[in-house]
Amino acid sequence: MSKKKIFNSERNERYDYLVTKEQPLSYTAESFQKVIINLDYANIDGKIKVVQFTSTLASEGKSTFVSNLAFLLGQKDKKVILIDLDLRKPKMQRVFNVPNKNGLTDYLSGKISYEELIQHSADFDFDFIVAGEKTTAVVNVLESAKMKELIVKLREQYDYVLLDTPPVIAVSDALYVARNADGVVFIVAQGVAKKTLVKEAIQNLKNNNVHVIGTVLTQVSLKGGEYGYGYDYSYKYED
Amino acid sequence: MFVDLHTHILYNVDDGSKDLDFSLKMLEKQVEEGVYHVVLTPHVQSKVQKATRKEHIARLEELKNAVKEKGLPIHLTLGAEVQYRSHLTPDYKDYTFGNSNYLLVEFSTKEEQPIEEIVYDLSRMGFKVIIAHIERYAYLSLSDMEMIRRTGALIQVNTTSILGLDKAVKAKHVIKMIKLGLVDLISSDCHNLEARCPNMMTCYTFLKKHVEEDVLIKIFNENPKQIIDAIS
Repeated sequence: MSKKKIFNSERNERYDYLVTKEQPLSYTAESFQKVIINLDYANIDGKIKVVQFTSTLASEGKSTFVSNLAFLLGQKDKKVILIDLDLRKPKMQRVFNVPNKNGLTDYLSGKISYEELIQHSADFDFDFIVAGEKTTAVVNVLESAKMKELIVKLREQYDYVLLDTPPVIAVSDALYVARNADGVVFIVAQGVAKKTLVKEAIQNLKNNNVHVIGTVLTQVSLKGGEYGYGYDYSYKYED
Repeated sequence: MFVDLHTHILYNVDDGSKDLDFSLKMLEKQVEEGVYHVVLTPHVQSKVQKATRKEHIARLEELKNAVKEKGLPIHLTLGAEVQYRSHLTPDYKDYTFGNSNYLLVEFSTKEEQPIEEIVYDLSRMGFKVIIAHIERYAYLSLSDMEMIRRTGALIQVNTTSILGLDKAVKAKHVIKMIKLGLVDLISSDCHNLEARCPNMMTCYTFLKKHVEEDVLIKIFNENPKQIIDAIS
């Protein structure tokens, strides 16, 4: 039995490798630039500041996508903060190579101060908030008034507040977060997400009066030739 | 010559050795089994824990003196076997092997714990995590173990599991893990002088029949040596 066969099942990419930083001239980085341009167009009036990111199911590349986007926005002299609101399976700490300590739940439960909550990545040059200690009261946390206040405060201090949230189909967390966001970018992993589930997820968001800004296609195979870039951006679901 | 990194030889602190005399007998057995350095790893944050850290330190000194008096050729270092409890946030630095960053952590055998995540956090806090007897966590697949290792933990298995003395574990499975390169360290986890006794040499001799020698050298010599070098 070969070693490869046994160990293949799990994701083994590094979260702390941002392609937009390491390979700025790659097709993938270029695709990210296009996402930003499209986001700018969708936001001509400058009303979209708090942007939420979600997907149908887990492992569609949300954390990777959001952290790359945050990096590029930072490069464009935007003041950006990235918040890990996937309190069930937090991943953002891995992007920054730090422990999941002094995070959102710790702040909301009063254990740490606002100053301790906001961390800065010297590598990527933008601010971030990790999820923090695990809790079973996820919905209470996301619904709390203190959470709302935090977003209001961040809205004043940053150009963009990017929210990484759990997938829509698995849990309802994303819907609670959406109440604090100006819009949602929906992430679809090509060849992974099922069409019916994607439709169901987006309908679910719309039923809750969530503004879906657009969808992003990730994990696109360049071999197929159908899509020229690693990421594609679509207005299909725009209201 | 071997190092035993997971032992319950410190007396009257947990379900291991009862008194100083018994600890000395266990150490004599260690010497017979070719061991020159023992890390004492009393249970911490566990139901069987009977002593505070202060008492651990006091007993270490007493044991060290007794070893010196007896002229046993063996080094002792204090560590701990920390039972991971999600609701507790101790200062793990208190429990590392000597002054090093190596930390032996055990997890629940019944209730699934997110070991990989815990290893990630602890390692980013600066600790080198050793997973105690990973073969006992039946909820882990080989793939899970590989992930845990890749995240930065060292994987320890018990001699008793390999020798077929732990009924909850299949010895064949543990040998397979060794062959796949999933195991970094083998220790006795000795508690007494009966089934769970110091038996490093016995285990090594047994494994020689099943596993390539270069693999055994890594597990029994090179990897423990790195840890011992970090302690002293």
